[in-house]
Amino acid sequence: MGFFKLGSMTMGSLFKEPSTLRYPFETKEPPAGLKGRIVNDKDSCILCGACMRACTTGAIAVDRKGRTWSINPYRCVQCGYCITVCPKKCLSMNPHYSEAAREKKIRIVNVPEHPKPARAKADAAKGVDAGAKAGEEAAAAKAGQKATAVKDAEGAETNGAAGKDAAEN
Amino acid sequence: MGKQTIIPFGPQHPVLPEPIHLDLVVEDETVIEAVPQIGFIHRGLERLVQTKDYNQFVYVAERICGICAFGHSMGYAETVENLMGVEVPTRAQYLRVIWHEMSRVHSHTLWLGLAADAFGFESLFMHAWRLREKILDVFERTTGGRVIFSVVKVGGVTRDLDDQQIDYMKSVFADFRAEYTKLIRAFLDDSSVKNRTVGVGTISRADAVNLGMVGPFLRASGEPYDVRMLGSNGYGELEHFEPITDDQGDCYARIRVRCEEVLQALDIIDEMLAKLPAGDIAVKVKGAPKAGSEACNLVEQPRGECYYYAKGNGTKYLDRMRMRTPTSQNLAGMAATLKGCDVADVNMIVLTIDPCISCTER
Amino acid sequence: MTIPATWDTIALDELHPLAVKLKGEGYRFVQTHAVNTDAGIDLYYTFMKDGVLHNYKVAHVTPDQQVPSVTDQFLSAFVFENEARELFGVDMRDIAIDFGGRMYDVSEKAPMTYVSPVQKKEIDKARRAALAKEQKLRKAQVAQAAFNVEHPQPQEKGAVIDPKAMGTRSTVGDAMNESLMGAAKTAARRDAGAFSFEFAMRDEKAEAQAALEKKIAGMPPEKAARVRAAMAAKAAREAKAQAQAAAQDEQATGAQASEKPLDPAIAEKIKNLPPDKAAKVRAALEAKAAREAAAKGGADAAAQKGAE
Repeated sequence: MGFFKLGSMTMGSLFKEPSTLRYPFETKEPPAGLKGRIVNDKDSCILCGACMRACTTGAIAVDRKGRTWSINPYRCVQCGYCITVCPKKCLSMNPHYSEAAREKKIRIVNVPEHPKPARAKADAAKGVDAGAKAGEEAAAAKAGQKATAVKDAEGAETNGAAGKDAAEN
Repeated sequence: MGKQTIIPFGPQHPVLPEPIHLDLVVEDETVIEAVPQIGFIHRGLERLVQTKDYNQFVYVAERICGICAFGHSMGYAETVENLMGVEVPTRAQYLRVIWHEMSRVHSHTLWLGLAADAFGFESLFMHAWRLREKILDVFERTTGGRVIFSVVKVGGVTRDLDDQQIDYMKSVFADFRAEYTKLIRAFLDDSSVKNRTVGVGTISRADAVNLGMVGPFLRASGEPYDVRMLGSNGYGELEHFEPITDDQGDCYARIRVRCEEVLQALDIIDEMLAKLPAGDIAVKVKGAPKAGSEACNLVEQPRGECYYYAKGNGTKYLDRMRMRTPTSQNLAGMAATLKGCDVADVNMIVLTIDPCISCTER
Repeated sequence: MTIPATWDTIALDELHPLAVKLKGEGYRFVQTHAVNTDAGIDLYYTFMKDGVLHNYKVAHVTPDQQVPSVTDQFLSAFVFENEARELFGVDMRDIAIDFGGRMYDVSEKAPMTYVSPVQKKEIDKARRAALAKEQKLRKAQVAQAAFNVEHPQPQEKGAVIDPKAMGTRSTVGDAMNESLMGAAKTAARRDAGAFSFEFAMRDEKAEAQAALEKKIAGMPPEKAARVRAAMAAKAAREAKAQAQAAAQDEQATGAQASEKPLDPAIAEKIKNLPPDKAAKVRAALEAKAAREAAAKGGADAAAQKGAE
């Protein structure tokens, strides 16, 4: 037929299954790698705040004193920049289709205190002078712990390192 | 001598795809003059370079327009890489070309649906957008987003294609090509379409060049200019590129050029997928652009040539970022094409020009 | 491969004749834009021919200067000229389709000429860093020039430099010291017979100490207290170690001052040692010998007493 060009397509549409989903009775499985929602692994997060500074829209807020990491999912544009700047690689994007909601809620994650790293072993391996070890180790261990738990303790770290140097001299 | 009336067309109109306002000076059903007016969705995005550093600005550049999103992020990244002297790995260039050509296919298919809808041909509109969903599914699987991908960064791309995804893409494109060919034959061979578009809104080749038009709008008048034939960045890897032209310069020619560009884009994607090289997908970019450095770049977006300019000032914030989009060049051509046509043809002409006002106004 | 581009600067009155000329030669108009700088607005006009982009810059246009429009040659420029006028405050005249400043209709006047505080801070910081780097480079060049004057023949690679062989005076060391603590102090220390290099290094330690003090000042109080306690302990240890070393030295020098003849047995032992270690070992061995002699003497005395 000269004028019924879309004939086969129309006939097909009558008898084939529909191209649309009968949502909400059928839902689509989110494909892997979908840009969904940002999640934070609270066991590796050190609350450095790099994601807060990098966020393009200002959706992330890091509270170091209260030890919380929160994200406003309604400001997040799923660009993924926070994931690239995170130094501990604790942020990731889960494939998730956002549902409709009645109010805009901010998602808060409580980051617990992390166990202290074993700094004493390193000192023993260096063979530090026995007489000075007791007093120096206590100071260095305390200084060292604070340095790993809170990143801005460069002064304490140099003090710890300098203390070790003095003992080795 | 009839009385002249001014009919305001837009920014809200059922057939108008974008918020542009046209004051049509009409005399007895013939348009004497059309004065375009824009400025309804100016967001001031170029000023955001002052508060977003050059890495974060990719995400702003993407959101200038929904349809040309990938083109803008790619053009911006290429310009900043040019500014800082960064060499992008070959695999990343191939991936960018593949996604950009898919973006072109998506844009033209969307446009085809809108053109048919402006016509009244709603079933073609629905079929075209059903095919477009297939492309959007491919985007979702490979980049994670349907319209805004966030997959380009300064230094390369952030995601890679593995073999499973490539096989999936190839199968989808084969199906798409078969159905799409049927669709455009239905549209282009239809006598009522021909009645409404042949000889309507003609613009000669000389006028088109004079008015500085770009894109399929220009190529339909016979001038073979396409940025892809300059062979910059990833497009230099293509073996052979010939812009598609038509010499009639009317609405039918513009429709035909766009429909055939989709098939050409599918050929390019097949060629690029076949010879995709192995390697890194990004290089690490450190530091900031030097003070006083400048760079410019051209990208062929679905609607035409887009010009990018970047200027650095030694900090991580760019001094100036300029994106000159194709439709801003085509506005003069649009005003000229609308002269002397019937009022009923106005929407068809505006649609075949394919304006993207959100890009124009930023 | 990037698009080839040329960059030229022209004067404001050359703009319109240039547009006429390029139109006659068949150039295609690409775009016009404006850049905000401290000295005014820079206008860029871009044209294209044969795949090459030509950018022309009209530099430092102030709001009182009138800019002629190029829309009589290239109609498609009207959008950009309206935009430059509205967003940058450039006074454009004779635009073909003129929106009279109401195209975007923004509420701020010339919004693109505003520099945000964030960016301003960064620009100032970058400028200061560049200046500091330049000064450091210049200082290094001065020191290098002085060194070249003193050592006209470059030393061979791999040759070992013995600082003691260079003597107590060195122009390079002096130059470094002068930059660190001034000319007067340098001269004073030099006259006292001190090593040019040695003092420079010791000063670094003091500088490090000063920097540490500054850091402590910026810390929260409990941490500062802890750090100070650790530093006090370290200083006490150092003092104790120094006192011990001084006592040892005294013993050594005391042994030397008494001018006891060197026991041949001890001389054997310390023959191959470096001088300072040799002194220490000799002192230790002599002390041991003295103790043994004293013990022996005591035993003899006891034996004698017992014998009596």
